[in-house]
Formats: sequence, C-alpha cells, structure tokens
Amino acid sequence: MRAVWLAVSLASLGVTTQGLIQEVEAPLTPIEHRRGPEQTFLTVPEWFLVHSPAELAAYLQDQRPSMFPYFGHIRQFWESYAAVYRVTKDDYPLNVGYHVMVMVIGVSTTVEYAVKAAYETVIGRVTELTRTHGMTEEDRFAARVAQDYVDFINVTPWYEYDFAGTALALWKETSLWGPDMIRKWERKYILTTEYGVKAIYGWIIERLTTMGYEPPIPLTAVLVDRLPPGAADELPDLTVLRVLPDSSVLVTVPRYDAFKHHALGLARHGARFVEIAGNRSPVLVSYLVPAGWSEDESRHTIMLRQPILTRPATQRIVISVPVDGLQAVLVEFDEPRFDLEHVYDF
Amino acid sequence: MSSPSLGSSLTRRLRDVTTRLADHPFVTRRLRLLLSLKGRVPRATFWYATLGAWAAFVVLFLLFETAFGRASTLLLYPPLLWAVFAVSGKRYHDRDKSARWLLLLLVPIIGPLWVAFELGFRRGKRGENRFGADPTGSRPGPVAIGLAA
Repeated sequence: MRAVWLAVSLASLGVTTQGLIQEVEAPLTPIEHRRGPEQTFLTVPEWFLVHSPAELAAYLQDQRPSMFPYFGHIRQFWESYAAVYRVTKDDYPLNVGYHVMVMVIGVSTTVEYAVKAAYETVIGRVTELTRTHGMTEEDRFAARVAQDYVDFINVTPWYEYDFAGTALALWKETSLWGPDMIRKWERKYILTTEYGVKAIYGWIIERLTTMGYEPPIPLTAVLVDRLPPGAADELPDLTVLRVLPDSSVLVTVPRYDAFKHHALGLARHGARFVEIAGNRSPVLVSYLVPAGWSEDESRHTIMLRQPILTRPATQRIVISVPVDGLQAVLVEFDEPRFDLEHVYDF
Repeated sequence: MSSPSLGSSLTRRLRDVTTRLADHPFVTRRLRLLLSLKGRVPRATFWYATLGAWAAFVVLFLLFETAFGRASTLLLYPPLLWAVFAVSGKRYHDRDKSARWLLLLLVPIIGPLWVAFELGFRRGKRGENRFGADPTGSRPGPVAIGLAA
C-alpha cells in the first residue's frame, strides 16, 4: 500500500495498453472497474512493502531491533520484482508508470532499510547492550507503533499515517527519566528522527500523488457464476451491481487487504470467479506455509517462494492461477497449516 | 636446530613487508584519510571514503561473526566510528567549519538531514582556508580575492 494510489494514478495516464491483451471474451465488468492484467504481478513487490513492516512489527514485540534482517528484506524486495519482471516482460503490456513507481518505492525502501541497518547495527546495538531492565518504555512504544502502522497501511496509503502526531505522542506517553537512561534517550532521539523524517517525506509524496490525479476506487468488481445464499449476509461490504441473464452476478467488494476475506468468503460458499477487475487471466495469491512444504504437493504454478527470515519454519509462496481457478485454490488451501496472506486483486 | 633462525627470519621478513606496505603512498594516503583529523576532503572523497569504510565494516563484520561469534564484531566499532568521524570532520573543514558542527547530529530530525546535506552535497570553500589548501585545486573567485585584498 506504500504507493498503491500513486500507481493507480500513473496507470490511469494511459501508459498501459490493456487492449493488446486478447481475451477470449470481452470483459463484462464495466470499464471504470477494469484494471490491467499485469497489475496482479506488479502489486507483488508493492505488497512486500506491507508484509515486510508486518514482519518487523511482529519481530519488535519481543526481539532486539538490531537483529532484524534489514538487508535480507532489501534482497527479497528486489527478488520479487525480478520474478515479476521475468514473468510479465513477454506476455503482458509494459506498464511503464507502474514499473517506475515500483522502482521509486524500491529505491526509497532500500535507502531506508540500509540506513536503519547501519544505525541499529552500530548505535542501536551498543545502547541495547547498556539495558539492564529489558525493553524500555520507548522500545515498547516503537513496537506498538510498528503494529499500528501495519494495520493502517493494509487499507490506506502509508503517507497518510500520522507520523507527526506519533512523534509528539512518543514524548507525551513516555517519561523523561527512568531505568536504562542511555537506551531511553537514544530511542527518543532515533524514533523522533524516524517519525519526523517520514512525516516530511510523506507530506511531500502525498502532495505529488494528489497533484492532478483522482484517488482510485477502493473497490474491486468481481463477476461470480452465482451468489450463493448466505454469502451476502456474511459479507456486509459486498454490493450487487448487476445480475446477468445467465445468473452470474457482478458484485463489488473492498479492495486491498479486505479483498482476501471477501474472496475467501465467496469461495467457501462455492461461488466461482469469472472476472476480477475485468480480468480472466492469471491472478496471484500468496500463502505462508511450512518451510518444508513443496509444490510437489500441489498442481499449481508457484511464481515465487521466499523464506520468512524471522520465522525459519515458515515460507511465503506466491501462486499464479487463472481467475476461474481461484476458487479451487482458496478452498484447497483453506486449512490451518496454510495462512492466506494476500490475493493480488490487480 | 634451525627453527629459531627460521622463525626470526620470517618475523624480520614480515616486519619488512608490513613496513614497506605501511610506507607505500597508496596506503599512507588512505590511512591518513581515514585516521587523521587534519586537512580537507572534497565531496567525492567524502562519499567514497564513507561508503568504503562501511563496505569494509560489513565484510569484516560477516567474517568476524562467522569466525569468532557476534560479540567479536564489537571490536570493529571503534575503527569504523573513528574513520567516519575523521572523514566527516575533514569535510566540514572543507566547508570552512569546525568538526564541532557534527554535534548538530544530536538534534533530532533536522540535525542528521542537514549534516548529510551539507557534507554530501555542498561544495567546499574555494581556495585555501584555515584548514588547508583547496583539495580540488580551484582558486577563490574574484569576489573572494577582492575581499581578501
């Protein structure tokens, strides 16, 4: 979600050539709800920048910030982008705007993580060694904010997060004196700096993004073969747009993170997907699965496989499946050992 | 019983090699760059010296961690911090300012941003200043010459 809105705005400039993709049938989804078929792929590196802070937030709850694998995450971001590029370069139109956006957020994240790694490895680690009472108030504050930030960017662009208010809250909610003063004041310093710099950078990015661009529709249109009884009651944010003569139903559901809950809900009720955002081409879905799990156990195409660096027993797999096969995958993987991470809804 | 003489011969040879290496202009220039607080460095030198010091730190960090355990990597911190401090101080000299300006780093938000901008992107004072000759070899502009006169 780091720059979903920016990307959509850039895409709307016309740099995609969606019409070049030969669909078997013309999409039944209204044009205002259609998105380029390549976007399911291009959102993978973008969503990594949600999953990476989520991993960091979970890590900070009880681990030392200096031990987080920042450089490993930089590598994984670029690995995911390389995988996406390989898959899309010959078979999909070149979405220049989206590629530029991914490059921009990739470079800015690389710089951010490299600076964090350097600081935490040197200064942060030294002050960690001075602690005698475990985490300081400021460490706990940072862990709480990290989780709050992840919850926020799951549904909202990152630059709308209230970093300035968070910096002020740090000084209001933590005491000036207390145990482990060196660590305490070093954290006050670096957290104030981090939130402050992000507030300034976010303000600039927000101005650039909203300059002349309309915000995207936060909905995804889905054409399902039928709307099973009970599905609409269970999914209150689902809206029926149209019922077609063959009893297939065009609905809208929330986009981004919430899409996966709605897709899973529809799949559990037996609804088959016909189109998502006007596409019948492959859609990507990612799961967190046990590290030993192998694709031999499955008949599906694994586009990307990444270890979860802070949880060695877990790996991420990104499955590529045609839209009409998504329901089968969601049902097949609907068991406790598989954690549905994201459905990349174009 | 040739081992003592062989040992002393090896030691002497090693000493010769290290002395010659340490006296080599290439090495002395870089050691001075990373260790001395005197003089000035331009932007390009600042960038390659800082990034080089960090790169060496990362490589040595991984080597030490693998060979001797994570705690041993703490030995690398003083040389890294000194090298970064020495190069940054000389960059401030190039800006005709004392290295004490590095204390700005202690001011949250603005401090690190300003120091990074000033050291990494602003050119040094043209011509000689109180810290030494212009490392880029450029002469002061006509206005500065006029003022000096």
